Amino acid sequence: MTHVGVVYDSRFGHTAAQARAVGEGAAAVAEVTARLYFVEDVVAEPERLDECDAMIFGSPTFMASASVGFKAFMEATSRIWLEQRWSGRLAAGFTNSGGHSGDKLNTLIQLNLFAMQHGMIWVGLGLLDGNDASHKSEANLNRLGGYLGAMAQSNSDQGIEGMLASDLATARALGERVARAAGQWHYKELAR
Amino acid sequence: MKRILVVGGGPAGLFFALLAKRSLPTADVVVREQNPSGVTYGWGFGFSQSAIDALRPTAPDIIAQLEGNSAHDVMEIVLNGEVVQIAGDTNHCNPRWALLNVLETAAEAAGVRISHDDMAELDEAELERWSLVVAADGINSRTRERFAGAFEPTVELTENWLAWYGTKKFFNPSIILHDTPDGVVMSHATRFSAEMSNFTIEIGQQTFDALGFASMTEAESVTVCEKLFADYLDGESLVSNHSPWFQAKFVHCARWSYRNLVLIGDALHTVHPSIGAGTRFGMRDAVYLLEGLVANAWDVTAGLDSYESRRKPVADGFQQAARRSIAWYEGLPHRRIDDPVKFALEFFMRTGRIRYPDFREQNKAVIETFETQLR
Repeated sequence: MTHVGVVYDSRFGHTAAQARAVGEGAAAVAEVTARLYFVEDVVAEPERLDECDAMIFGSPTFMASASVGFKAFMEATSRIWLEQRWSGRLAAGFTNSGGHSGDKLNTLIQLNLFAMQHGMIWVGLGLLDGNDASHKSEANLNRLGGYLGAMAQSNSDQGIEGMLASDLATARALGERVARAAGQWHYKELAR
Repeated sequence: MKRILVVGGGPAGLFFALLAKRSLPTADVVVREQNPSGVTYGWGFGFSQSAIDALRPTAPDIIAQLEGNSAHDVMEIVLNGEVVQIAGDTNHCNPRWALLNVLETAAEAAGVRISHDDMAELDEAELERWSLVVAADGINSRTRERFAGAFEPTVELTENWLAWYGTKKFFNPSIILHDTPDGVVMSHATRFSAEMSNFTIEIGQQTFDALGFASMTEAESVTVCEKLFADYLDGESLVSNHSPWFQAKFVHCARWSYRNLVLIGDALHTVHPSIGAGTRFGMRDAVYLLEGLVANAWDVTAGLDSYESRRKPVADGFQQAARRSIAWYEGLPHRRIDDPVKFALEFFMRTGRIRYPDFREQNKAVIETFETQLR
């Protein structure tokens, strides 16, 4: 069995809903188990994540950057980083913001560099731009056109109900892709 | 001597009259109420613990009579019979008529004169006969409409239809969603006394039309609703108390006062039955109004300015939350919801006033399911 962990922060529930969709995508793959880990829980004991063969990191984008909660988690892993304990495992990322851009890419880059410091192997979204032509629409997968990870946009005056099904489906696709890759990836071979 | 007229003997009006008379015993305070004594509509209402705490200092004797009578710490989110229990702020419920009785008794004991069955219309000339006129004549305020040029009100109707019934079945505060062939039907239910629960039904326009409620009597509607919610009522009946179908009005006013006339409560601005805060909202208006007047030594012009400038930012925030809640309920008939835990999370996040980490901390077991049961 391959275990995929979705490590997430959320302030008003949107990124939690996105994390849930990522987790559902991963759990839908055969021979894979998945669960969500909230950053506040793992910041105290990040070694809980040692059980994950792949980790998918998700944070809201606030002020063009990962949330303070997610940053706290990143810093809490410094001992694990020093040992390079997660080296070779798969990693991926997702983020949500109110703005269509919101400079979300910066958050994905932060998540990516965090994984690189840990020696992890990054899995991108692997979907073409979903809404870059007149015949396409926001109902398509990857309507926000990210490649490094899954992006979502949530209106600031709505709760989870305002999230687009396409953004949640994009999150789900990321979870599924990472889980499929993790099922085939023998990171312990790499570390040998 | 100050002469104060309060138009409307609902919770906001009576509470203001009581506070005013206690604060300024020499004033002549008159409440003009259109209904006979003891006649009202509807069933129970709830005060959150924060509402109780906010109101207590202004009238501890009143709040003592309302606290803990029918208190709930748990809310139930029910989706097609599946129940998710959510912990939250304590909710203190009472019958609406009990609140009115408590307020009326205290107001009369303080020396407020209450005139029932009084349909007298307020006009420009009458304003001059009073030092201050407080219009607390409710959501259908005739005062607001008569002086609409001054208050610039906007009144919008919600898309969904509601009916405010009671039942003897005991309900923890519950939101019930039930799919039927004619669309989703919803209920907000809460026990508010030893005997009775509210059972407010909310449905979308399509369901309202499909079931033909527009041409039914109240009794016929009750019978149909009992069948719709038979799985939840355990054989208990629904009871009507002037409970016709209605579309909730959402009221907002650009100006809050005109000369010596001021609006409070539903006459001025509404929230929505779904956030259960209308009674508290109006009574808090009364407190702010009194504080504004007292701080300005009962100078009416300065007092009304102070009331509006201090109260408006808070009230607008509440109205914004209410708008989000209304929109959320209006969206429900157009979506398909199939997971009770996701539904519960969505419900609590709908107004943006509860933070996810706080919700999660209070509801570890629910979130555990959300985080681990992914298939």
